[in-house]
Amino acid sequence: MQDNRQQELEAIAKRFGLSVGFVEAALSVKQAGTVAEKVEAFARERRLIEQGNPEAVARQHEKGRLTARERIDALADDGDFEELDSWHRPYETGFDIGEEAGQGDGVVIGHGTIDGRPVTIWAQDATVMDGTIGTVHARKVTMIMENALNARTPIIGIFDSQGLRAHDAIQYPDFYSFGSMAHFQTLASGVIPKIGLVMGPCSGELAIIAGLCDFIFMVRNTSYMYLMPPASSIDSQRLGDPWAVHAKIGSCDVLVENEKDCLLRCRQLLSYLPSSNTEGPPLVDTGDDPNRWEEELLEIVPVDSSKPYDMYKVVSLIVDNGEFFEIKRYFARNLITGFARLGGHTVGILASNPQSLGGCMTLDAADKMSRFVRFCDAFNIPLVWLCDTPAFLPAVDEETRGLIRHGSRMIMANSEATVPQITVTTRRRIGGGGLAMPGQCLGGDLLVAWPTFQSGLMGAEGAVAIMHRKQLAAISDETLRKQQEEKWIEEMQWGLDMQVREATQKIIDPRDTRPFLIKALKWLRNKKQDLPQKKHENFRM
Amino acid sequence: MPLETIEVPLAGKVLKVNVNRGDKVTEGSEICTIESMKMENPILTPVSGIVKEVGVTPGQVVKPHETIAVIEY
Repeated sequence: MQDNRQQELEAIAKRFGLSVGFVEAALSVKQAGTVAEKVEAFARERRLIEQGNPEAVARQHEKGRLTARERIDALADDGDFEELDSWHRPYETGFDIGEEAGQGDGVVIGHGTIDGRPVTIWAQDATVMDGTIGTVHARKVTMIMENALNARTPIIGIFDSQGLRAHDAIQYPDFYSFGSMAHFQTLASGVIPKIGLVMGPCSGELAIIAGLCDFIFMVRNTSYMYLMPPASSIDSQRLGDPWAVHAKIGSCDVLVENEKDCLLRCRQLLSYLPSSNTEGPPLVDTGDDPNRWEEELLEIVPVDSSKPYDMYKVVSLIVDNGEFFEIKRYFARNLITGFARLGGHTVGILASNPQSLGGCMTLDAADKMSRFVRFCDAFNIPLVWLCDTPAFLPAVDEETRGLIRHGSRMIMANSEATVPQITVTTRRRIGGGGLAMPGQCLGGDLLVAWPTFQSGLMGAEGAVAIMHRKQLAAISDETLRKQQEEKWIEEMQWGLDMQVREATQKIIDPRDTRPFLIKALKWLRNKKQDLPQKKHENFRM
Repeated sequence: MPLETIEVPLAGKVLKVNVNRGDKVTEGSEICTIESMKMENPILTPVSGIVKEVGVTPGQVVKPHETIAVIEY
């Protein structure tokens, strides 16, 4: 009798791809005589789903990775996560997928809070069929994306999947698929912040879904990301190595050392951002004095423009408590981008880095800048630029890789931004570099400079060589010509020196930079600027 | 252990080299200085590790993509 019953349960378990324990729990739901008993029996089912397959959980831990639910626990406020659709099973394909307890179809979705503010989360569950994406998996993610968009909450996706599940993909229509996930990622772009945490494998089309996020985090050593399958000579971990993806390819925005750090940094990033494009970023009481006057700022920038200095130091002395959340730290190091607070209000900081390529603008820096400016503009975050740049880097491979395409995209992004924009030139604002850091002609609101300011299209020598070329050539005596040239250069230099004073709206005391910026941002807080009606601009790609 | 190759970012002249083979370096420390475009450009290591190879000497004229150093991290 007992054996028969056990055999029946096993048959049902096999028929539905469930564990025997789960079928037992399901049986007690059936047999429950009261609502209270049903509640308890369903809760038992849910706990079994949440526990998952212990062997698969152990395998995940051996790889140095947490499970989907453990990650969510660390990400959301204590215990504040409502999981949805956990009972959903993969579609029956007629193929033996060789796994028990496929509940959830390899993804955990739901909503919770971070710092008390609502967020939507989906996390691929590598303990269920390696987190592979079947139709139900894709439908769950698509629908939670749509929910997040309608609810106007940030959405965080945690990527840990071996990709498409062939059993599903070859026979089900693709309405719920990578395509639908990509579509909703795109619709949500610029409406709600979208953060992708790549904490395991993320390859093929899934890498595009991650690519459509506003910010991508990657965990060193335990994650990888690539679009095209690797050639046989290189393994996945090397091709999609987080360091390379972060520093060289530039698609990873935040590189972290381990999973705990990843989830903590994600919480930190969200603290700077509004929940949607209809709100302003949250105001935080940082306790830092808005009138803080920094003596040290007087000593940092060398007057000799051949000497580099630490721009990170400048940033940290100006912003609240020196806290700076950097985006794309090692990609295009000649430009620094990231979030900070001034007087408790979030600002996006864009700063030249004279320690890298002399602070020149490059193609990669142009991409870094346009991406950051576009995000801040979409989410009502004012921009503060710290400018010390000579020009675009004169290099042949920059030009042949398409500097014009990338450069014009950057100018467009800067030019159409309507959030408050303040540029502080710490030293050089020369040649094309001036275009990169917006002054008033590019829609900027304020353009001020430190006393170390240098400006202009070219130096006095260059200008004399062009403007007095004919007169100089007409002087046959070399000594006389040299004398005349020096005289003109001195005159030209005086002209340039005077022009510098007009190329900025104000020369400010470096020590006063923080109070100045906080006051200016307060002045510009209600800035409203309408652009001409259009569908969208036509970016040069 | 993975290797990070630090390449010459822009053409110029090497002013000084701060490391030798076998040295331990920490993220952000200066490997060498290259003078270019009237600027001194410090070349920093993006990773902490051991210097496996140094490809430049002071006074050398360098071109983009030449190897400055290889760091094992």
